[in-house]
Amino acid sequence: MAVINFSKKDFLSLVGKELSDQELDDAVSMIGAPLDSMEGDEVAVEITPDRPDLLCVEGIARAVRAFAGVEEGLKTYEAADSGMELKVDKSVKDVRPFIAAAAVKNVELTDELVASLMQLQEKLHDTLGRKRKKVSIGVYDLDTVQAPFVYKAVKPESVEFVPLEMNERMNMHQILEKHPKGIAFAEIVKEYENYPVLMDKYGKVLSFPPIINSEDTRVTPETKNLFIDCTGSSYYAVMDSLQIICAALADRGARIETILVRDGRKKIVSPDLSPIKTKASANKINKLLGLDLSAGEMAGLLGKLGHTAKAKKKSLTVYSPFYRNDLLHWVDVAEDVAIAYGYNNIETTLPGFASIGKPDPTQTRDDKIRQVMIGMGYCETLNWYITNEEKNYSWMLTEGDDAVKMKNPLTSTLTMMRTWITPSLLEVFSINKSEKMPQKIFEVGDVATMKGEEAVEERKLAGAIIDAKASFNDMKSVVETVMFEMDWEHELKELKNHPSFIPGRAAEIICKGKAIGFFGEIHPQVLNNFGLEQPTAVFELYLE
Amino acid sequence: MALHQYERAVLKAAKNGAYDVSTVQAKTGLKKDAVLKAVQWLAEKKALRIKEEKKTEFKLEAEGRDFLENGFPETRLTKKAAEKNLAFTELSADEKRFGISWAKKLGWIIIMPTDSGKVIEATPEGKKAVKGEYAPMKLLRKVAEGRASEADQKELVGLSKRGNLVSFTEEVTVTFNLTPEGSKLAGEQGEMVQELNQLNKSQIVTGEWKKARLREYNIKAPSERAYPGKKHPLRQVIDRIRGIFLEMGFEEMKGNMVESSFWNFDALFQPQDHPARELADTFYLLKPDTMEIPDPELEKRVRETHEKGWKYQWKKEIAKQPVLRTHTTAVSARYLAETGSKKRKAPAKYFLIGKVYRNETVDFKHLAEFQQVDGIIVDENATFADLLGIIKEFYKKLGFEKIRFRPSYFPYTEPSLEIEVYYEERGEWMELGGAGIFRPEVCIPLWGKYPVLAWGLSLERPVMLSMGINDIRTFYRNDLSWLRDTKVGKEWI
Repeated sequence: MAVINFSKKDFLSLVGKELSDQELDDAVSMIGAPLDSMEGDEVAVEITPDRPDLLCVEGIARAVRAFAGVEEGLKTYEAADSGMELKVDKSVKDVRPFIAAAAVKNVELTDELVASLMQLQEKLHDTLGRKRKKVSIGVYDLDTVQAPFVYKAVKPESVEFVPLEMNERMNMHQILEKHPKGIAFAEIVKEYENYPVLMDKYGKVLSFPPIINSEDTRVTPETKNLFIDCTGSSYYAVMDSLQIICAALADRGARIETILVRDGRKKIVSPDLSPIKTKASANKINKLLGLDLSAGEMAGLLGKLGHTAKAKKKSLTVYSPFYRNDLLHWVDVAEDVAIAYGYNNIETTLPGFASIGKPDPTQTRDDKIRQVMIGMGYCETLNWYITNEEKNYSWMLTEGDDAVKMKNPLTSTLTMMRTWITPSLLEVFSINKSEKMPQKIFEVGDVATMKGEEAVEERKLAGAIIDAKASFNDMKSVVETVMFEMDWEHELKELKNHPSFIPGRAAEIICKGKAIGFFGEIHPQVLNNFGLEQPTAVFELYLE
Repeated sequence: MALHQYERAVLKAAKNGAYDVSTVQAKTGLKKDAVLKAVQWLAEKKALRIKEEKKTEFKLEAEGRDFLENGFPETRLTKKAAEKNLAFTELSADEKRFGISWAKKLGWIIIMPTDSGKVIEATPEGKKAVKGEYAPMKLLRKVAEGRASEADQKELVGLSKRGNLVSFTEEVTVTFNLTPEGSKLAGEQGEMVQELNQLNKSQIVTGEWKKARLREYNIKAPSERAYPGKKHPLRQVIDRIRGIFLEMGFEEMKGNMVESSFWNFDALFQPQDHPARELADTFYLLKPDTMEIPDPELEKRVRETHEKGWKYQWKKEIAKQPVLRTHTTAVSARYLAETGSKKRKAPAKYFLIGKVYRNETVDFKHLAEFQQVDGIIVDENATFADLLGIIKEFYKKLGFEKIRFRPSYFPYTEPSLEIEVYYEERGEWMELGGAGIFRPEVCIPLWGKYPVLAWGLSLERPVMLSMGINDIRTFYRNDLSWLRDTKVGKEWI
């Protein structure tokens, strides 16, 4: 979840209404951007990924203006034709296929706007832009470049320019190797033969997307007009990002102008600030929400969330801001009706059908086993099912290649699912050496092993005792008690060649001819490996 | 006044003229400790007054006995030297080791160099001294005859310093007098009856107990702490939540932890480039390295939904990647698909409490493996108002009377909300779960119908808050002192 910071003073001036701290808290919470913190003038709110338009103070203020009744309904934006064109060369199709661009005139670059714009750019990169892979954004001084523009892919050595924050000309290879942004984002383009580049009429480089802009087109405090581009792997994400930025700038008084993007035979007017139209039926919305509202009432409510809805009998036509790409169909309209109505104002009901509770039989059985173990003074432990080869095999003096293994573990301590519970219990003893003896513990839990190509998860019971006098016999009587109480027949067989146990002090539990478990005294080498200092005996058996 | 049997024995002996411990011992057959205890207790009850006398007893030890019999080495040595000058070779071992140095110190001998080596010659003082009795010898004799007194102590201490000659023990002799109350109390004591600590079988069976008196215990004496076997605190919470679901008519689901991305993500309308699917958040598996998607029709429906809704090209290979499930909702998705294929019936209510995994750095706030609770209601006629209503009931059963909802976002629900409950003890609202209605993009491909109500919460965080634990890892560390000290009678969350 992204956190957006802004100045309360700036925010309130954008809202155009004085709000108390409590009112501010309530308002941002109700538009789905709950407060993270508020200290003095500094406010931070959390933004969910469905609403990238709220990744800037301008967007949050716009939503609050509607919700607080300052300006309800759809906010419309005008965009005149700049007369500029941008040509997309087909060479970028394999690398970074999409671009959208806009000209923004008469921008007053106040400190607040610059801070917000930088934050918006960074947050869009991280969220919607998937760390620049899906979208990256460039902002330039429009007056330093000449239309028409061209977006193409070229050999990395063939283009040189001075990247931002550098003093010398570099080709695109050198940028990936030397520039901090090049190093950070090289992964995105490295595999391609040609790299994307955006140039003006005279071949002046604007940027090497998604890596870095050129120093020559840098935005300065004197900049009055901006050129903005978004490139990426998804047309929709690229266009949405551009439109969100344009709306924020327009809210600050700038004038947005469109650029004609020629992509093959397609001609795209960018940005497209026309509203999204969604049809919805008031009946369906009422049925889903459990409300009884007229279409007119719904239209009124939708105005508070920045939509303009036209009610006609039972049907609604909803016009929503162009950046609301989370609106897929009527269900999304229904949510906004519910939000505007207030979740906490809805009269709650209960589902209208009868049903009978039904436990999972294995859970019922496990609970009986727990009772038996507890009756014998054993304390239940809960251990992680994820572990590593050292604990599961090496320390136990065993080997195995039957583990369910992780591909991308963050640490070497969590690399596989455990194949048995015994090591977990020995680990519990190892952190409890100073606790009173005897210690008696158990776990009913799962293990996972590979059977052929498939992972098989199985429920097991294991128990253990550590004490100066702990022995084979302690486990024998526990195992026999469990088998008796659960009414499971069994016989015992000598467990031979199990390296985790003292030879001659381990047994196998056989049930209907199948080995279902074992018990015995842990080998002193294993005790050493776990750092245990007292004799220890364990048992473990399958429950299925 | 309730008296211990020892006390009564002492009083009885005192009535018969015994006023010191050894006499009482002789009369009662009690051990010294028992008599002393009883005297102490009776003194506290003001039944008698204690007089303590300290006496030091001296005892001859091995070396002392040897010297008493054979003389001190310095005396023996000087005596021999008085007769004739001695060569070193003529001395016994202890004469050599101790005799020479003591005799020299006393001025009894001198050592003279001669042509044939050193010789020992007695001085006139030495010759005179060995005629009388050596003072230390006198002391030893006194000790041996029991005549040593406090007055000799200082010299005896000095003597003891040269070896294992004498030892001292300080003896406290306790005598006592009965007070008037004590005499009265002694008079009240009837015939002694046998007093018992523990009944045995024969006393019970033969009726012998009728003649016996069962000792009264000090009921406040400390007893040893017992450590019962018990359920893990988290299990106790799980049991409670299971109970609530079952009471509310929910059926318990069951599902695997090793799951395909298809069920964990795709079936729940999470786009394939969703950040939650990144390697940094999800455990992907090396073994198994692929998992089949069971139903080609279902696969097609999910693919189309993704491509239409998220506008990208859906890839089957990505959906086949196995993961450790990141939420229990993966199991809900399977149950929903089984409802779609008529294996299960609708309407229905299901729940699951199970382990989920996140590829996170583990610290005091984050676990890589934890428990999640999921409840769903599969019903064509269900409403958002029903969802809010059932959630209210659920949390009321958990003990939360005050509850409120806040709009939120999850990729697979719409509307979505966060559940906040009011903790009376802490006096604040806390987030305790999320909920929503599964999107048509989830319901239609899996079930063919709509809607499904869903809510869930993770378990450890609220339990941690209500227990006042600061480190979330506590739950899986199984510190026995924590397990032993966490009370079964308390309800957490």
